[in-house]
Amino acid sequence: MKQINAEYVAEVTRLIPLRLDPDDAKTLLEVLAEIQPLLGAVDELPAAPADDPFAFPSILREGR
Amino acid sequence: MSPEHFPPVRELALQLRSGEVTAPELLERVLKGIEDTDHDVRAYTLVRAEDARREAEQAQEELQSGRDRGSLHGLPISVKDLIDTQGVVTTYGSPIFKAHVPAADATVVTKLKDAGAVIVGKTNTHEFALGGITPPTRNPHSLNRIPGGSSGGSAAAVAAGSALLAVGSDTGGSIRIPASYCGVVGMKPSYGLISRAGVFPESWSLDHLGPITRFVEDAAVLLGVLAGQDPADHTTIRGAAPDYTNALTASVDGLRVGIPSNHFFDDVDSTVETSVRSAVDELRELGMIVREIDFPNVSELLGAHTAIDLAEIAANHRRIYATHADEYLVETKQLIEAGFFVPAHTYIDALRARPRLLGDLLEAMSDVDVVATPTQPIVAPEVGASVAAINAKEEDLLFAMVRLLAPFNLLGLPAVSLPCGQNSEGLPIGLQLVGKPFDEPTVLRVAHHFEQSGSLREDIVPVR
Repeated sequence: MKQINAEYVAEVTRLIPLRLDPDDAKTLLEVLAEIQPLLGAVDELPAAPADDPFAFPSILREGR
Repeated sequence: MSPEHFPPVRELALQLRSGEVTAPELLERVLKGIEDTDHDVRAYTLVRAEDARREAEQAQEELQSGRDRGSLHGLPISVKDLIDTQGVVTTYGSPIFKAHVPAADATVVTKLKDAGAVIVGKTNTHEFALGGITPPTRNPHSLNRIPGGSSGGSAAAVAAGSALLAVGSDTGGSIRIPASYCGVVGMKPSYGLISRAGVFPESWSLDHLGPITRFVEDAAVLLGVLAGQDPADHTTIRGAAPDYTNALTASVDGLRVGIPSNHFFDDVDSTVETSVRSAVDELRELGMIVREIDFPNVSELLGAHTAIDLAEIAANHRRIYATHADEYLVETKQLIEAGFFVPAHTYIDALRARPRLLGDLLEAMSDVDVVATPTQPIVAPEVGASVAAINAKEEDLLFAMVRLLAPFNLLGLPAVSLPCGQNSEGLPIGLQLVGKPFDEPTVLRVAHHFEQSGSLREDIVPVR
């Protein structure tokens, strides 16, 4: 996963019209630093090519 | 502050039909509760007293003329302000929608009205349900404490006696957090059991609606009304839901309760842990078999929940943010902005992983019927707190609130929080019971038997 840092925030802000003043940007970086390890855990999950991202509701219902 | 002590709604229903009480009288008792407490608790955004009075009169006339709509007929109910109510201001907890009047009812509101319930008013939600504080609502047990959130208004109203029944929503714990902090019952059912149509979404993949009540059997009654197929929400189950009150009193002898050996008792306040472990002892004394289980994939579950939640928050708010960014609460704005930074592949991988993660947990639960955990690692925090102090360690408050709950939103499993004790200051402590997919009857049965046993639970009343 791409390292989230000030440069990355600036890069994304060019693409998405984020409304950030310098204080907001600093706080956002702190928030992102907290969630990055959580998101990193997802990148470690095994996945098979056939795993369907939209299958969950029906699979849950089948498990009744 | 001493709350109105309403009996269970099945008892009220009998009283209504015998003429011992009337629907307008019941409504007046709730309105009196609002008058007595809401200047301090501030659970409501709007009280529709006069319209509700007319509807209660109508409900009473129907009953007297032999038209009986069922278990909620003539009973007052309060609805989270995230849920659309036709012709009634619905703010979603945000100044951005302060004048918003929906043109149609949410499906759950239609179901409540069809069942004869009288909508008393709208209860506070944290802005767009994106937080666990629910300003300006206060906890009836201590007015310098938060009620939790995001369904904080609903739980605080039930605890204060200013609501008989309430409906909330739960994406990462938003029913169970305030239920725990306010000492009431809150149920997040299985994903797909209750339609979300007409409810402002936080995360389409994780959002659930459910009852917030004083008694477990009230939650079962309300769940039976709210559940069932809805063409407007394609995730809902096919067909009608069962009567959840039927199974409540069946024996729990021999039912198997799993206690996680990891995560759920780590970094939990010692008073909370003692209370929850005592509750587990009580389940054993009721005839249940208690065994430890290893809870799999905790980091992955929390990571996948975070990825899906944030990405869907950003998608849902992108257009509103473009024109109203400065009108959000600071913390709401940060969550939306954080969502813009979740990579698409991480979001998709999190969605793809859900069936595998569900399979792993169900395998871990193969020898148990329910799992018991603390609902929250702490009691209700003080107003203004941004960190949770747990056994001399500090942790981000929002993360502390969701980490024991969010896995069951991701996996769509039924989970109820009910009071199991209180700390030395009289602040409630919650026990979470989690079941297998769509096994609400077993979850509610265990909760009901625990509640009825009562040997560990003082009658929790607001103490201020």
